[in-house]
Amino acid sequence: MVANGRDLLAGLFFIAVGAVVMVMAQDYGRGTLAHVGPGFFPMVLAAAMMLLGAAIALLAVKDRVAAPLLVVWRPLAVITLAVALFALALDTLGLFLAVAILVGVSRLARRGEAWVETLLLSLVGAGVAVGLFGYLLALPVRLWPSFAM
Amino acid sequence: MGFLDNLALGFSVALSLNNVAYCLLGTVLGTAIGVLPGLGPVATISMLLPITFGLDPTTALILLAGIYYGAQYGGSTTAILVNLPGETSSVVTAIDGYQMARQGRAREALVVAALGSFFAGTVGTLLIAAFAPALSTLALDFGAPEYFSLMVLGLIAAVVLAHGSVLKAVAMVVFGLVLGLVGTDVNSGILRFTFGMTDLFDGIDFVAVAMGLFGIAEVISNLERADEKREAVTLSGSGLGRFLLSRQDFRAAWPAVVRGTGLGAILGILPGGGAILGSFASYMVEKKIARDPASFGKGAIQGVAGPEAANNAGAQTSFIPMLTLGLPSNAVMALMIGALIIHNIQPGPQVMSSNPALFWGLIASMWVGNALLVVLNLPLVGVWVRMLRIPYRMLYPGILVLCAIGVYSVSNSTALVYIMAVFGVLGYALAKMQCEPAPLLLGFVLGPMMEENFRRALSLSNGDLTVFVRQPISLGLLLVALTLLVVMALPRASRIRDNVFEESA
Repeated sequence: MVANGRDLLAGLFFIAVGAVVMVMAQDYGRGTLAHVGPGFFPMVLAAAMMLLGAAIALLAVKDRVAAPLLVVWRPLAVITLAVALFALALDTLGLFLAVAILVGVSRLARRGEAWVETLLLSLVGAGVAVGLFGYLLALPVRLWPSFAM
Repeated sequence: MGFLDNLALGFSVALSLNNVAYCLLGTVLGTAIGVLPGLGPVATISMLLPITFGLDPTTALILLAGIYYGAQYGGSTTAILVNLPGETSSVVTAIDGYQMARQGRAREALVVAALGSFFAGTVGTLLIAAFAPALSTLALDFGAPEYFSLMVLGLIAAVVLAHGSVLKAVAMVVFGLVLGLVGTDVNSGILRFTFGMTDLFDGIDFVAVAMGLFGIAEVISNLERADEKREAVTLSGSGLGRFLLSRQDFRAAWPAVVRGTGLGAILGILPGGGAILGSFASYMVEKKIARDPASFGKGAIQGVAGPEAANNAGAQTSFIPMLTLGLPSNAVMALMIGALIIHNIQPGPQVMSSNPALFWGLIASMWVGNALLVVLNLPLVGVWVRMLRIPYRMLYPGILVLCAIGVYSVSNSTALVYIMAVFGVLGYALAKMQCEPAPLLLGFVLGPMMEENFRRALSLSNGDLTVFVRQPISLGLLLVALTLLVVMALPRASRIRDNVFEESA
């Protein structure tokens, strides 16, 4: 079967989101037209989303253009992990180490980056970040690990 | 107050030492980041948004506007020098600009882009000063139904005039509207779509959304591709004498600049137009009326002059709906509105009367910013070329650091960093499904306003849905929106629309 994979997925995605919104909005109260409740507008939007999603999916099935969906997992996983680790580290380990971790981990997104360069980038990046945001702009954030100071 | 008084007030604000300094900072920062590969104006502005929080609102907007022009200009520079348009509106510039550069006429291309932009910027500024007050006055009479219909029109037009699938773009707008509703409902106090997370009670933070969709997701997508080999054209010679155009070039370029300015200014006001439509339209017009159409694509100076002027005029006039109606016509204006709201200023027609210094100061600073770009950037071209040579493998960790620290600083909470990461993943997924994030951002900004006006209109009319079609203005706006949708859904029109976007791409 030839179908436009990207569009099909997009259509299904919008139908799914619309359905979730519709179900959740039921609890918020529809109200009346004169006193529109908090659930009314979301329900309208949810219905529109499901209709649009269905139309997109139908056109995609009829579409004879093959649009392969190629996902490269490594950058997606690594970058998301790097950002999450930054958030995790910031409050306890401080800005310097958090930035070093963010830079260091994010460099794993592509294979074969020189590790010396990674180390240098991490240290320089962390140093610049602490100098600029910590001391110059005086951002209220822990700079060093809590056990160090 | 008359036209001149307004401008005088504006310049008195814009020319204060502090504001000139920030305008300068904005244009330089914007250009510096805008020339970097993979970073257009939207990403640049969302990345730098947090640094404006400590400033007063006028200065903050001046800084952001400066960043916008700078980033736009930076995009043109890379388009000309390395055939790498930083954003859609400079796609057209790359066609003839890069050819000029390869023929050793990089300086001429840059000069004509700068001067053309400056001329267009000046005209655009005057246009805003002339028409914004009238529009604001008109808009002050708008009630809730008119506002609701206006937003419908704005969103539809933004979608229809942008490129890509109309259906998907409309779906993205609706998705954005839903995301905008997350948090505590102001009318009833009910929590909506928060999944019990306290960090979502005040709604999803705008900066986290913008940075996730445009910063993080871009990085992930870029990393999938191998580094492109960028061959920057080298500039030989130096000195200010090299920044002048020959008589012949000047003669060829100025009519194109004037036409481009006109086209760009008109198309820029349209929702969804922004800077993009104008540059495409201008290129097509110049090609049509040129004595030698064959020279286009081979380094015709009109092919740089017209689109660059159009793009800048459009960038300027796209401020008009934002300033007078509080409606964003493109993603950059959505960011501007986000910035205003962060500074506790409700965008809309009342801004002009309640914050005249901000309103006119911003307008005057547009001209100052354009002037600064011409004065500064031509001599600095060498620096920008050097920045272009930074390889992406060293650049993207820096982008991530800026985004992460920036979003954290919004409210000093790591929760926002996680939310940004989630939107990074969402943005990546949407990009894979070929859904553009810009309409989502427009919807996100407008969601709460749209619901508010919808409810107010219905409560005033006692639940009578016909309120939206009984008021002539509201009816007219809805009819225009409907016509646009229907026309674009017709196969013939959509083919023409595709051609417009593909012609030069």
